[in-house]
Amino acid sequence: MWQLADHELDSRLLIGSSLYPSPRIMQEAIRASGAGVVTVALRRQQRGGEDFWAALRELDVRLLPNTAGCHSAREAITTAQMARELFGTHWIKLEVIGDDYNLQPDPFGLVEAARELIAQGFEVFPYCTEDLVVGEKLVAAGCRILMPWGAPIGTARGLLNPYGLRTLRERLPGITLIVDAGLGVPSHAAQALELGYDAVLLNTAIAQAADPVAMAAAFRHAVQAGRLGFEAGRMPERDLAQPSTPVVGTPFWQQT
Amino acid sequence: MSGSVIQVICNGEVRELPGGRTLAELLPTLTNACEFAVAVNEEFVPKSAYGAVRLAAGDRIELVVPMEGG
Repeated sequence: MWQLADHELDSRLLIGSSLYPSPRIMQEAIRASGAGVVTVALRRQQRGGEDFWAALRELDVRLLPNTAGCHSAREAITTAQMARELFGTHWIKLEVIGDDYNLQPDPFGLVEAARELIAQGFEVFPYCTEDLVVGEKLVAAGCRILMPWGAPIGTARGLLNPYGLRTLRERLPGITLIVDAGLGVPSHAAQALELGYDAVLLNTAIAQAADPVAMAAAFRHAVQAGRLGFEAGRMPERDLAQPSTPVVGTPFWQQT
Repeated sequence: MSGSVIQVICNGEVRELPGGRTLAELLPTLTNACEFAVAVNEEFVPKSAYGAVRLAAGDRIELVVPMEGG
C-alpha cells in the first residue's frame, strides 16, 4: 500500500480511459492493469459517450479528471470547477498546454492555476516538465504531487531525460512524483519506479497496444518490479569489469 | 422581456431561446444528458445557482459531460 494525497492505493499504476478499441476493452484493460486511479475528461456531449461512462462506472476505481485541452489558467480553473461538481472529486490533473506541437505544459499558466485551485480546496496533480525550478515553484504554490512528463504525450519514447527526473527526485524527497505521459513499453515504467518515482500514469501505451488487456497486465508487473528494485537498492555503476566468479583457486593459474 | 427571443451560443452553436428565463428553465431544451456541468461566459455555474442565473443575449454557454481522458 502507498499513499496518494489522502488515499491508500495498492497499485502504483494510474491509467487513462481514452483511445481503447471499445468501452468493453477499456474496462478489461483497466481491471488487468490493477490501477486504482483512472483519468477522465469533460467534453461537449457527443454520440457514444454514454457507453464509455457506463463501462467506467462499473469499476471500483477513483477518478482523476483532467483539464486536457486548456491553454490558459482561466480555462483550466473553470474546467476544474466543472469537473469537481460533475465527478464529485476535488482531485484534478491540471493541464495547461503551452505549445500545440508537442503538447508541452505552460509552466507559468500551470503555477498560476495551481495556486488558485489549491486556494479553492483542490488537490492539484500538475502535468509538468521535469524542470527542477518549475517543480519547486509548483511546490511553493502548494502542490504536494508533481507529474513530470517522461516524453511528450503519445510519443512512446520513454524517459527522455533520466538525469532531470533523477534530479527532481533527489531535490524534492517529500513530494509525490508520478511520471505522466510518453511511456511506450513496460520497461519504461519499471525505469521510472527504479528512479524512486512513486508511480506512473499512462494511457496510449496500453490502449493502442495490439492487445490492450495483455499490455495492461505487463505494465502492472513492470511497476511492481521497478518498485521492488528501487526498494532493494541498486549496486553502483562501474567503468571496469570485476569478475563475479572467485579468482582464488583458478585452475592452470601460474604465478609469473 | 417575456415574449422576446434571444440568441445565445451553446457549445459553439447559435441557439434561439425565450428571453428573461433562468438556466434552470432553459436547460431541458439545451441538453438531454442526465449528468452535466455548466459554464456561462467562461465562469462555472454550480447547480445550486441554475435558478438564479438568467441568460442574456450573446451569452456563451458550455455544457459538458463525462468523457474519456488520458
